Amino acid sequence: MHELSLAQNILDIVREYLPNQQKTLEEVHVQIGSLMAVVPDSLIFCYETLVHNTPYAASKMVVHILPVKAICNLCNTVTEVKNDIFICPECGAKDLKTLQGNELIVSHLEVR
Amino acid sequence: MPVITVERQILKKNDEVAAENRRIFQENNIFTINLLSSPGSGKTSLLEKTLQQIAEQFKVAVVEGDVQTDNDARRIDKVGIPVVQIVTRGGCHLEAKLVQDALSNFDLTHLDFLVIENVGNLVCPAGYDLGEAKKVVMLSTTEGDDKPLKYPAMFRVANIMIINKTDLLPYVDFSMETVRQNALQINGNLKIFELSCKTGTGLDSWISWVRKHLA
Repeated sequence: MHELSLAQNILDIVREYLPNQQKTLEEVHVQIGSLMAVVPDSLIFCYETLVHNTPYAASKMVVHILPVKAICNLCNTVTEVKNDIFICPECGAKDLKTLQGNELIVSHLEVR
Repeated sequence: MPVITVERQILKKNDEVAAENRRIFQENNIFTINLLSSPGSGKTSLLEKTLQQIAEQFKVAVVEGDVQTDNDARRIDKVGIPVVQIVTRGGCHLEAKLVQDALSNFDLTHLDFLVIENVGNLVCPAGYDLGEAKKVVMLSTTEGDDKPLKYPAMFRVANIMIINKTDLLPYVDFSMETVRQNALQINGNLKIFELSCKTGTGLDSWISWVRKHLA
């Protein structure tokens, strides 16, 4: 699975923001769109494995899952997409643009 | 607790390299597809059966991605198409940098059509942009008509869906109508091809679609 690759990229970002140990990282918050097929427990496990024996070893990862939202290209209705059915509930069109659900973002770090 | 705002794309590095790749493809006028499917759907067979015809008129090359072995590259080499094998050694998807490194093996100024055959996997490759113009997802009739429902991320990001092994329809529980319905409710803009690499049925319309993008 690619959770390990994602966790490595997250750790690289953490290193970039906290290169020295003046501040201790407590929590790294990530936002994952639910279309991205990322398993939160697996991502957390990979992160914890990677930070072992690093200055960030005591930090926790907090995963925020974002629901899928889309806008109808015909009638502009914004809808929360459930069960991956991209059909406009208003006009029945299948031409929907994804507004939210593809995110893979490190949103913020909590430090001490 | 003090907060440091980051707001960074986790795959930013990959996206940046993919953007570089896309610029290289556009500058050299190369139409590039990212070919995706489960293992065994027939990606390499599709290339074996159609690239020779396309190569009569255009310069074609293939980047093969596999977890292990260069079996697929040897199959493509056998039909006379320039090919580079990327062995990921466990990696479940190709990343933009791997593709960029492979590009040095080709004469890009004279290339018209590049196929990146991704690692057989319907999950992870969906999240990794390689710089391609189109994502082509393939599934075969032996895999079941619920594949789009099981792997919505992949079918949502794809531009084209190819249904292979239509010659086996009489022997498998696979409804063409159901698979279309399942795929189109996830992605109403999918263009769909039905074909059989074994018998050759339907290959012509796929070849025409590729040619249309090369002209």
